[in-house]
Amino acid sequence: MAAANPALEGEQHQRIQNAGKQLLVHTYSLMKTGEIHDLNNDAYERPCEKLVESLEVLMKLERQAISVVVYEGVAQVNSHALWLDPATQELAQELEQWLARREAGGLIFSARPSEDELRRFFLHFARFRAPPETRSQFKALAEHLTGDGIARVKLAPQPVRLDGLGQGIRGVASLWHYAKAVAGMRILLRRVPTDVKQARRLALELVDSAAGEQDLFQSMPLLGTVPHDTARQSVDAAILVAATARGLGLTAVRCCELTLSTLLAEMGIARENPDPNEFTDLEAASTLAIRHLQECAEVSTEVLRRTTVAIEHLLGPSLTGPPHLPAAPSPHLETQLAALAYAWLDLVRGRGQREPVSAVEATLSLLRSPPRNVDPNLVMTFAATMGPLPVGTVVELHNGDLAVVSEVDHLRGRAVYRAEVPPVAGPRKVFVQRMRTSGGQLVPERQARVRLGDDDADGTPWRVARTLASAGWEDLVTRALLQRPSTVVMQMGLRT
Amino acid sequence: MAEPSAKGGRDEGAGRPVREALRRIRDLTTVDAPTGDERAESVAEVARLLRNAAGEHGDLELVISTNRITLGDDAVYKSDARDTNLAFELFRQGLRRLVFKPGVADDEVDVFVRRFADSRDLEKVDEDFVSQLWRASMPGIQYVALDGFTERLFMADEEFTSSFRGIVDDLYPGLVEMADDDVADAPQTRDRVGRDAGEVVDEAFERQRSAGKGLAAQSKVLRQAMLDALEPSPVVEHALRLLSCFAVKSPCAATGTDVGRALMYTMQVAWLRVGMTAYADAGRMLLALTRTDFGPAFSERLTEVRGLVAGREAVSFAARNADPERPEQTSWLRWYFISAGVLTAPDLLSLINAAPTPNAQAMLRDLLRRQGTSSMEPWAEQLRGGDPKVVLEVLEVILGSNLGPQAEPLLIELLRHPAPEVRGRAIDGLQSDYSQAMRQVLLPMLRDPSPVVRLAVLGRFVSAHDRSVSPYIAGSIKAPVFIEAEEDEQRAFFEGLAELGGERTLEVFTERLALKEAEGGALGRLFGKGAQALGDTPVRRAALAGLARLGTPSAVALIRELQGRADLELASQCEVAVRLAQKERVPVARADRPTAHTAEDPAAVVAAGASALGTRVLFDPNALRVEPPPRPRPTSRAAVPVEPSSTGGRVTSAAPPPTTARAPRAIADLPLLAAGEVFLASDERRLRAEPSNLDVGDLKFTAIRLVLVGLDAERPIAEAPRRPAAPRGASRVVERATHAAHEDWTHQPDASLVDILSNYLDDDGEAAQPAKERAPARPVAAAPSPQKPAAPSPAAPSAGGIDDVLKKFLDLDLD
Repeated sequence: MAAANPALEGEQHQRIQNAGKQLLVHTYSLMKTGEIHDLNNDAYERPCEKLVESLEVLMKLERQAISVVVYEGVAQVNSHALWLDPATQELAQELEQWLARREAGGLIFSARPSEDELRRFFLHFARFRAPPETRSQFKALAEHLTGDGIARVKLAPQPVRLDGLGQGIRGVASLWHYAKAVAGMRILLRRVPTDVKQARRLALELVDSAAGEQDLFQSMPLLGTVPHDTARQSVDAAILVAATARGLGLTAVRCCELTLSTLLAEMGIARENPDPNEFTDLEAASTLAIRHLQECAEVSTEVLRRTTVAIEHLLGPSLTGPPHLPAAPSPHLETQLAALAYAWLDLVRGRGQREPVSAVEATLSLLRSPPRNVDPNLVMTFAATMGPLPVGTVVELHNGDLAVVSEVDHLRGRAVYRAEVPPVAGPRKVFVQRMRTSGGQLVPERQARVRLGDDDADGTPWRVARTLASAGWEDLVTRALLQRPSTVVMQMGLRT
Repeated sequence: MAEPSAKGGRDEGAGRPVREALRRIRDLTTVDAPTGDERAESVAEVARLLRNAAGEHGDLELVISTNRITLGDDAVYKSDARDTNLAFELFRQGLRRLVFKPGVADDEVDVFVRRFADSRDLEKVDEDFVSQLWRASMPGIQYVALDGFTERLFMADEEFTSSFRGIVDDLYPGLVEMADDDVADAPQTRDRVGRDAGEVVDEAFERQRSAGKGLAAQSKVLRQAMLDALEPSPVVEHALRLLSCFAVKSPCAATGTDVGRALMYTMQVAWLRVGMTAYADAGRMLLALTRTDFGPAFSERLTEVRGLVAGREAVSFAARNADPERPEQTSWLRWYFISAGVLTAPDLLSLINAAPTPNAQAMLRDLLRRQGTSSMEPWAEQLRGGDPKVVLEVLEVILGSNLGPQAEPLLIELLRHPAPEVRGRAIDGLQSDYSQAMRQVLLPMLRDPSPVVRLAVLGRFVSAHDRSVSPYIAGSIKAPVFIEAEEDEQRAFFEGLAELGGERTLEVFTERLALKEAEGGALGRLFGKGAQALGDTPVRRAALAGLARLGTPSAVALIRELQGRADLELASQCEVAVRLAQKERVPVARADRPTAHTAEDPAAVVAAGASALGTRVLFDPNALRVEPPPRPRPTSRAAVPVEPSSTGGRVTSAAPPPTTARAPRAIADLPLLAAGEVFLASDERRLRAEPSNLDVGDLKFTAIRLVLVGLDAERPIAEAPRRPAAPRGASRVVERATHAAHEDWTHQPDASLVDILSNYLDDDGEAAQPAKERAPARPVAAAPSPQKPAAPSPAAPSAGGIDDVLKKFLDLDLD
């Protein structure tokens, strides 16, 4: 967030502003110079000197690499938005256009560049011509610069348009917000005190995006092969909690609160274990979560609930898990929901030497033997929200076609909030995308999408003969869920 | 300040009203913003301006930058100021676009303005402006906002973007390079590895269908239960119960201070979100908890907890929030804080000085007074302190208590205090038996530089009827500086002189009345004006008051004499004095300090508050007097690779569920180990099975009770060595019984029964079933203790081998 850092008030703030503006002006100047003059021209000398001078000031103040990015009229140096006068404003806009021609958003100075490096960078920037058929100007220029040994100045990618953030065709919102939430939680779970404001923003984005792509969101915990770390587990569990809360027809605000509690259930891990010889990290984390109460200026029930979930979500059914409390009470209903989500995730992702089970089996397991200390109605509702076949499941159909569950029409939209009858009981339509025939042939696109239960051409209802392991079929899963990969990539702002 | 656009032509469009609206919004969100009707009018005007402009020109999309807000190409707000800069404040909150839609309502503008103004106090809430806008969900006002993480993506922050990109690549590998067109696999078809059989999928759908019939009703019940559970009252009660467990947990990663603060916070939530009665319930319970004897190991911890829940911060909070109109609150708080016995005089004194309201001060004074009666020692230190405010507070408490002569030495000591108000109040306090010694102390203070002190001393002499001091009072009146004193003081001295000196002191009155001045000067005689009339002066009025108090015939005669020579004003004063003198004299009551408290029994007053807000007991503290569950130690974790899990307590105790990959087994629903429990290599154990005849063939375990008993009891679990013991260390008792009823989460098994039994039967301690804990995401720090060699992963026994294993298990000990 481009916030006014209180520590930078006054003189320091002003120095960053001045140096930032100088950096912007001299970057502009060097780009012009690169267009007009050759490498050995003296015209580079002065702006290079001044640019390095301003960089040195910024690096001294920021103690990190310096990024200068111009997007939609706003010029920013690291987290500091620059206050531009009208003349500099026009200059920044022109700079933005030049950068856009290279599909770049700005420059990153990872270290103090030499004058020679700067000369070559701006010369290439102005004069480089990518080979015909090049898909990415950005990538081509970046590779060219690297090839010329320019390592201390890099191009920053062009940011996604502000009004297109996390939006686009189906799949963009869930992917953007999931990836951002996980990356964000990796930072938040290291911070003390817990940054609730940032976490809340993530939670409300997850809830909002679930209104459009809940089925895709629910598939996220099942996709991928990398073991999920704590941050990712937190987001996975939060997604499942948000889905269940939506299924119950709670208000958006309540859904957000429950999601936030689960998102921060592991906030205790940011605290240092006071005695690693005495306490396991889990015990220390679930115990030290109570410090959250000391750090919140706001006296509210929500803070109390959040802390309660963080303390007791590991207690387990026998109430003896971390933090190993004597006579621990039965978990609060909110904790039960979070613990249930974690339990389901442990099943489907596997744990330790135990193999993961399929989502179908995990849900059936819950239904066959409901966990102790968890409200049976909660188990039923959770299982119904997850459904028998989540999106992303690879299946073999009765006719031998290989298909991917691509869409589950259930709990969609914002109408679920405040619904009189909990919408989880509403009808569910499961669509699959037929990707291959039994012989490995493609299925024509217009015939690929079918709904389970509907009749095929022979009058036989489409049904699942068995589910398959997704290993080796990841590309088909991607194609089934994201119908237009290139569009998703573009709308996500991803660069090759 | 926002500047109007220099280009007047733009004002033809929506620019002018938007500019005016933004100016008003800025004014409404400053610290000196208008309030009441003026504010309401201004908000309505903003809404009207925006509504009209949007109605005429469509959506008003404002682009927000650090120092300007633009509408299209028109800069509708510009400011380079650091303070009260609307553009910068909105930018700082993360807003980049703000769209006012046609039909934007007054209420929406009101909410927008209010929340924006509130967001300046960022530290008081854990919700930023954008989150508040989201919560308000206003269709007439839409926005685009950046948060810190999106900004990291924008700025190409290397760590964040690589993390972001890593997730995308893991979820959809190859997405970025993927062509839009799919290509058939044939002729090289890929392997299809089955996971769930069709029957399993059918069962899942069937269960869903059958559950669906009752699901609506069940989920409705659940929704209500969830909403009820999220209400403040159950949340608070649950948190109290949960946090109380930490108070009696040892060892505990949280200190007593941590626990106390958490409980104090919970009590505050109870008061503010539920009510004072809930606070009282919590306080009553915590007081009982911290007084329950859980053994010497916990006494210090419980004291620490009590020190916080009934300590300085707690009383400060209570004083701020107590309703003075509700005596039951005050009464209960008095009982609570006095009974807890945590507060000290210095704490209360400093709180009194910082108390924001008179009511809070009164409550704190009451507590101070009541706790001060027990001993003088706490006060002595405070009284010697230099801060007059603090000393006065102490004095108030002392004078309001029934300390009596006990306090006299302290009060006398205070007569030397540099602050006159302290000296004066100390003299007030010297109400015990008047003595010669006291006279000696007080007499010099009749000439104290401060009138407060002089009056106090005079008052004390009068109340003691010490006639021997009248010459000294007369001396003070005769002193030249006397006329510089305030009239009230002069009057008091004359009255005191009359009271104590009687007629003997008429001469002093005469002298101060200066009757001779009436004989007139030469000028008066020259103009035939006769004797000059005596004027009305403060000294004469004061002397008249003294004469009236004296009331003797001589005194009245003197007044008459004065009246004869007085001007009109003074003559009327004399008339009043004569009337007063002729009235029957009312004896001056001894100014003894009211001792209302002497009628009350302090202990009874305090005790009466105990039940002022009910007697509800949230839970019996003795319920916490149970054996703590076994805790896995870091040393045991070090022996095995830790792994992601979220289910803590269940990790070591259950068997895996049936999967298609492994033959389904309807066994091992029940744990043999308690959650988190780990057997150390040195443990000796004996297994006993009931009933003794096990039907091994069909593996029906559900009716079997298994008891696992350790043999030696040399060391309790809590005292187990912190580091892995030598392979054959001292043994410990380990007992565990499964229950006939279903007890654990069968969907969360962790190891098969066969694995567990194999490990039990393995004489080599190194092969003991390792503790399995969910691995935290953070890198697992290398355990500082020596690593126990990791248990060789036992190969999953074949289904055929389980009979042998079980037989071995049962043969182990069936005595």
